Amino acid sequence: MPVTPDDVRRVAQLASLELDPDDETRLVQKVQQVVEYVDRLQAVDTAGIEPLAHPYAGSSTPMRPDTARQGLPVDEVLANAPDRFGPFFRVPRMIEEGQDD
Amino acid sequence: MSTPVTAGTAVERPYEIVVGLEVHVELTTESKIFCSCPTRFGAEPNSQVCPVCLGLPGTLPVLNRRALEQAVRAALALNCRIQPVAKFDRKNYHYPDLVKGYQISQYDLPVGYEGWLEVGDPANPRRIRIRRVHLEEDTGKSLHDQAPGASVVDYNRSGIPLLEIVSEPDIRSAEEARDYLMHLRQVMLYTGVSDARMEEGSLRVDCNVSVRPRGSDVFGTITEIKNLNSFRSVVRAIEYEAQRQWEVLSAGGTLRRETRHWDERREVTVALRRKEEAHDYRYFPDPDLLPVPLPADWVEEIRASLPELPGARRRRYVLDLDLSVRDADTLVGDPGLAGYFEDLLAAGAEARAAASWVLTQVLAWLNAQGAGIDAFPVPPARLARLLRLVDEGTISMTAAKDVFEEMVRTGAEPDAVVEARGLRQISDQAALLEIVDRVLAANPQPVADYRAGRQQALGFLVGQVMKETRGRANPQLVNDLLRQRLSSDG
Ligand SMILES: [Zn+2]
Repeated sequence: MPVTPDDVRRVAQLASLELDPDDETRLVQKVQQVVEYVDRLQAVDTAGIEPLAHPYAGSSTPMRPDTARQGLPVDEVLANAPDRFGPFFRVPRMIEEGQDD
Repeated sequence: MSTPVTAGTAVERPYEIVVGLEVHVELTTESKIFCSCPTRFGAEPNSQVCPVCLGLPGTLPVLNRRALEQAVRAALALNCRIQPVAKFDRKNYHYPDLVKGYQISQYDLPVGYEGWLEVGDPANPRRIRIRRVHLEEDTGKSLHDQAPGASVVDYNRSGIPLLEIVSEPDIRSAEEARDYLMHLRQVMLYTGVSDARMEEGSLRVDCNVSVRPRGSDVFGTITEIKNLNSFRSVVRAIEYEAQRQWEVLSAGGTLRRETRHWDERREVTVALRRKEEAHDYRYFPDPDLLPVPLPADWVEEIRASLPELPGARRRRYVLDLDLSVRDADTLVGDPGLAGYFEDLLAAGAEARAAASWVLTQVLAWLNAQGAGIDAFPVPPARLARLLRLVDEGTISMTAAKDVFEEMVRTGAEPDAVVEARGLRQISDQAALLEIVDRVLAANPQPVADYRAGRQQALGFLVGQVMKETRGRANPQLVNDLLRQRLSSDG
């Protein structure tokens, strides 16, 4: 499956990455290689083999009891925030609603 | 004796409404799903967060066993099949309230699948299929009215365990959607999985709505109405959206598959601004979490620990105990009240009388006090005794209400109140006949009126006898005796 610059731009947009044109050309080739590798894997006959959700086959996820413990003090929570407003993280305004048409 | 599931207006509509619901309920765990932060509602902003639920690099999620158990419990109560091995996946998107750039959710192996929930008249129920029940983490909460020109985020909700319950598009009216939600909410309350408080956001609803010409079996274009926070909004939003869709189609227009927002104030749905990119969540298994086996013996243990579920209880009340659907709904909707009713039955009370007392006298007292059934001072066995006194004809209904008042006020035994206040009903025929004759002799005009065919004169005469006996005469017996006397000798 050939990878196009459009594919790369779309994936970049989904990942919130900004690419300059050089990045794009380079990434088309890189992603093409990954896709080809996956194509080779796809060719393997897996009929009759249990699907594997995780490489640690046979083990199961560790769990914890439901006991609560106080979290971090709010100043530590906000220590790395680029911008804060009182006890909140401040972010660019998110406008959700559009006009009905 | 059935409440119609579909709204009356549905009959006149040229179209049929098709609805599927996605309901998110917050689980009642002490701590979050993948870290130990508390889940208490209403805490100071960003006071219940840690590196895990802030999505800081280097942290790893560890699953809360209780959250998993509650998910299985809810899925079983919704008649789902349970996945032998569930797994967690990442749902990828960017939004300021989503700390990691992905939400841990479940994609192809949800905890439960292929369930159902019954709605409508228990004698002739409709089964709404449930496609899946899965566990996921909640996001933070964005607020747009705090900082001028900006939005702010509180991450206390980030990582709170949620159960998402997705129905098939089997719902056929706004009323049926409400009915489904009411029953779903009751299942959550009975199983103790969620307190399902819509006003606190612990039960949130997304509606997928489409319409089609009546009689068609083809599905129309779906719009999704996000984040409805009351049953009333759900009903209004579905009604509005269906009508809007039908008008667009009737005018020859086409509908877009889109997400819409319910504007509570204007009571309209509004399209959300379409993002440039189509939604593409690129789900993949979360490598931080291993698969989660749900062993059959553990699942069966949980199944065995389920209480009688609201659906079964409702069916029993209506079909076995002969209560009205309305009374059954009220009782089932309040597990505490239903428990008290059950105790009355266990103490030997007759079901319909018991339901009537609980839903009138007891409920009125609770409402007046603003109290729950736990605060009700009369133990069920004592109230059952009072009901028995009425049933046996020892006291009249009117007297019983007075006795009840006193029992509530003083905690007295009903028999003691009846004796102390001389409320024992006069059912002695000879004694009553004497009074009846006295009343007839003293009221020649009404007697003449009755004999002239004016039935209402009898009511007056009954009243006179009751007055003579200070309300203690058995009214049925008084009636019978009066009629007998008035018709025998003219
Ligand atoms: Zn945390």
